[in-house]
Amino acid sequence: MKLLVSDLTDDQDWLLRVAGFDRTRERGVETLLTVGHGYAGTRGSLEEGSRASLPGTFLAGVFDPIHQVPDPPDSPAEAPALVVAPNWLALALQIDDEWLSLDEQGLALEHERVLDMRHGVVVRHWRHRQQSGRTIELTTLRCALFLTGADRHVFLQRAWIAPEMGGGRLRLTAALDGRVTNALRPGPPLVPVRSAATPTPVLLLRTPRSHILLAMAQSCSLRGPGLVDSRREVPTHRGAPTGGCPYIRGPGLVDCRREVPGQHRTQTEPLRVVESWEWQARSGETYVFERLVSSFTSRQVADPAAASTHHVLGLVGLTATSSDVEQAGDLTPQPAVPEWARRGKGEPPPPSPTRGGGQGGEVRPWLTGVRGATASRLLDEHQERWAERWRAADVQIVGDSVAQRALRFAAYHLMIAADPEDEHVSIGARTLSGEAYRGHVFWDVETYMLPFFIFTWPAAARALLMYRYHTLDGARAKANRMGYRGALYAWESAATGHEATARWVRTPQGEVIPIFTGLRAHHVSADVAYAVWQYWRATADDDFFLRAGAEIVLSTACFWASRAERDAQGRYHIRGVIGPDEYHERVDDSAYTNAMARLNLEYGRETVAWLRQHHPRHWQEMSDRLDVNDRELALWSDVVQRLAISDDPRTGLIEQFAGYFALEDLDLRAYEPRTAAMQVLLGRERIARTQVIKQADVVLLCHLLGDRLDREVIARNFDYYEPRCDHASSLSPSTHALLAARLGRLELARRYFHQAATIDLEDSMGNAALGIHAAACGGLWQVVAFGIAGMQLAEDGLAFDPHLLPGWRSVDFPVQWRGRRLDVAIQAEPAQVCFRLSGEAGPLWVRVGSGPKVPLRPGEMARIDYRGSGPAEAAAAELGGE
Amino acid sequence: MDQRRLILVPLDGSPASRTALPAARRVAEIVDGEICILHVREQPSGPALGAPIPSLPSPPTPLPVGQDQERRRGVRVAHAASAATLTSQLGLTAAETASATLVEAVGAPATAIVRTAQERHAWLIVMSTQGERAWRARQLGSTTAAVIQQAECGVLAIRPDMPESRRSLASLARVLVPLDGSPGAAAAVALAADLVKRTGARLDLLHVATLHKPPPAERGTMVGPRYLDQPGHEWSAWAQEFLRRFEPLPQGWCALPVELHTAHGDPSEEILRFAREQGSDLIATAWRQTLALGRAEVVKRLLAEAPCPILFVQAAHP
Repeated sequence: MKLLVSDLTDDQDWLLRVAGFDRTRERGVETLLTVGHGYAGTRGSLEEGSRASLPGTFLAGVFDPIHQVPDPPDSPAEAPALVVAPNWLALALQIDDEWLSLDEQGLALEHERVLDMRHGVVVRHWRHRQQSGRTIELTTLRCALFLTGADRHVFLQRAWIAPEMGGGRLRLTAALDGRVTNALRPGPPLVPVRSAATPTPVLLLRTPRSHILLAMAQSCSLRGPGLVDSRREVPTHRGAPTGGCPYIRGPGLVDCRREVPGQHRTQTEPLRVVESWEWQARSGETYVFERLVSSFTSRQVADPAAASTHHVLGLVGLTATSSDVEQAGDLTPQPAVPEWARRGKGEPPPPSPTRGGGQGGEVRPWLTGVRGATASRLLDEHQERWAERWRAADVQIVGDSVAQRALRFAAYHLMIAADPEDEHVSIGARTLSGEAYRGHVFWDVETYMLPFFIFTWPAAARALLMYRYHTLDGARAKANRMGYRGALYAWESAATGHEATARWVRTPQGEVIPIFTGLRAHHVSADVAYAVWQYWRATADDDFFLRAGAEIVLSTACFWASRAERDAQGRYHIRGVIGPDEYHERVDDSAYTNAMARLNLEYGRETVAWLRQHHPRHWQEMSDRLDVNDRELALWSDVVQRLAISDDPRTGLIEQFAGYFALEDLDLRAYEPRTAAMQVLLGRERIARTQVIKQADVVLLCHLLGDRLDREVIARNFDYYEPRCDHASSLSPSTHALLAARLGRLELARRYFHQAATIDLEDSMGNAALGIHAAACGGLWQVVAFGIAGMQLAEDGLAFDPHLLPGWRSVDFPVQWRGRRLDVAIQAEPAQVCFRLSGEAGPLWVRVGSGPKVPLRPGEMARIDYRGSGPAEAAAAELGGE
Repeated sequence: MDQRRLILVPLDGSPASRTALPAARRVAEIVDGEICILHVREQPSGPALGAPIPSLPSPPTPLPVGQDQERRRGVRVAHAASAATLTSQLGLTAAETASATLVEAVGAPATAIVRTAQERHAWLIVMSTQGERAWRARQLGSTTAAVIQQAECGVLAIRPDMPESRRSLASLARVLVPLDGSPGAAAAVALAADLVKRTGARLDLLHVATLHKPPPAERGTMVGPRYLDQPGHEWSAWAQEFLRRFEPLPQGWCALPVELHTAHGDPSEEILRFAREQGSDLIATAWRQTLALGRAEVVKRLLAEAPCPILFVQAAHP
């Protein structure tokens, strides 16, 4: 059985291994080992449970209001929080009267969990000596299956149970357990609607306040030398996929032909369904448990219990009768599952106007597509989908295996958080791996995560931006409520786009402090518009821009035009905001905010010009609907020209906000070493009177403005702001690594890269327990693409300015660009960049440093020299076919 | 049936050392323990080391200590003395020794105290911070310092100059546990929680964020928060995880009244300030058993200035 774990993959850079069991770190480990597929994420908790554990499955878009604590009069009494869904992993093993547990009984002789990022599975190997002296070996596998036909509703769990010494009476229980609650802010539990044992165990619950129905149905089997599942035929061997990871094939050792009776029963309770098996086990024999779980919510289908039941039975090749389905599914007054889905074949419904989670939408075609497939075949599909994903996204580094693993870890967690099929959800700050930040969506998505998706998974990027389109009404409502026109996106957004930021928080010092970001952090609107523009530039997805992107850009531009105040001298100001640096909570003319607002207005004008030229009827309709007339456009132009951004032509420094340079200039080095953020140590009011900044602000702006700023200006601002930055945000180190790399400060870049990479992997800030820092993951990819490779977007091509980090011999990564795939390989010795273009679209030019543009046609390669550090210069270009 | 918890009270006959006795009795009452009074003679004059002295009215059965074992350790065997004589020598009344076992040992005081605690499986040592000599010199006694550094069980240190009501633990409503964020500190929480759950007291956990001081190097240490991305979210997440780091607590600890507090600055200053302002009745702290120069400055200051007794618990080793 050990082989099953040790043979995960030959390349250790794909694996994240966690040996032993450390109660203090367990919750952080659970975060790291999350599996998911965009529809759901499941933390890497122990199957049998533990007092150190914080298990959780989170379903994208499933929020429920919880009470805000504290609750001053002007604070909304409730805010949406991501709901903890039933635990589908719960698996407990009892030998005679002794439960297998890491908490108290016996001794763990071996215990290791491994996240295989390449295949998207978590495998656990555990040898345990019970108090009674018996030793048992347990190997488990779990994954959220990526399946063909965009099916993201299935989870798989397998367990190999091998008593080593002294067999005994084994009792195995596998539950769908709805007795779960949010750990951070416990609210009312899920409301039981129905649990049923037939035709297959299914659990249907409802969120208490938002009334979303959640269903899970499972199909389990237990096989072994003396056991056979009494309900269905058991194959003697499972098919072995070619080229896959060996453990997925299962033991293949188990002779399932002999049948001896075992006891199986299913117990239903209001909040859970428990299947149990009991049999006499013998030493040296292996028993294999397998569970497929299907889950739907009323966000996808009208009748999630029926859909889950159909789906899971279809997966294992069984068909439910009509009465079975009615028994499982006739649970709500909502419409039943359509006939085509009932039959398990037939035509899928016509495409809906929007994809994914509208309330009570149509059943999707995948319900019919996988019927009859075995679990092994599903795993084959799962591997193939993962292989596709990695072909599109993998960054390969030679010379730094720590960085290699960190980048794969970042990409893995980003990919399991996204669902290109659901336009009504985005990625919460901590993904679906934990409940911190309540699943709320911040500007992190557009500014930090989206570039990864734009260049590796455009369909996912599009869905994320469509979420912003579908939440425009919430943004308009917020702008209107605050007395502005257009759309002001919520600082914290959930299902509807209405502002979800708490107004107050009680700190452990006992203070109740106000939270201002929901009121003043307006830059998020410009960040969304910027992201729309970058996506459009990179993909040329005119359909998206016409249907959704243009409206986002125009609506946010309207907001900025109304937000800017004109002074007596005719200059415009944006007053009373919070920029990315949230240590200064009410500033005027934040350079970041104003510069991004100006870009937003410029994009607005370009959008109008494009619509007028290419889609005049569409423009007319939109112009009328959004009230964007010539007068409005004139205002946009005026604001663009006269919006205050303070920069000193002598020094090249951009003042972060009006009056920043006059603040006390604290030397942060004088406070080291320290164990908390500067705001904690100095206090909120004191820190606001200093130039200490929380996170990258002007430095971030220097990155986003790209080639609009001279390299010298970027360098001067980086040198000024970097020593003043507290990095009290997980968003900060990656931005500094990016800029440092671009400027050739490679040792500094390496240090910041490491800081960004270890936030979760080493829990370096002690707050990984409640979820992955998704922005740091996205930022890490950006360090490679925009910092180390120095990639810049241009019309019809891409420019590069490579700066490999110390010790890196090469870095290779693919990017998607307007329907083409460009493979980029940068090597240190000789200092060369190799490009290879593929795809059906037309040619593309690439440029390295200040060298000439080199045209590339599909199928062509180019090898271009560059110089190691400083501004790269193309020394020679060599073209060739593949 | 579980053995009763043994609370060892070393006395040297000085008034200062006797100030530990009321607290010991209070703890014994809380945990249903038994008290063992130990007198260490630096010259031989009594029975074998660790041998019991009949107490009044009826002493519990003492634990035997082998002669060979004693000889191997190089400790001189003391001669027997009567319980009444010893009671008198220690300046105690018969009532004060009622229900207690009296034990006399010979040797270096700290060594003898620590060894007796080991042999008798003491759950706690309760002693004054100052014995006879230290009391005169107004400083932390060397014996107390040595015991704190060497004892395997908890040590409850009582400063004699505290008001009687404080040093006797007459009230035990609030127990303060300062935490530096290292998992080893959980040992103090566990012991404190054991007391708290029997008295209904509130457990105050205090983390002091520090300047000019690196965090503990122990794996799994959690300080901060260093990242405070969004205070509305980060504080609650940080607080929850900080509490959960101290998982190895008695079952049911979550039901205890626990409050987490944070402060920043000099740890000893902040702990003392908190204890004074909040009226802590006991400070429980885990530490790594060295009072060498330049180390454990927080502990030394707490010993000197804390307004309440301090319970020292050996930090759990990772």
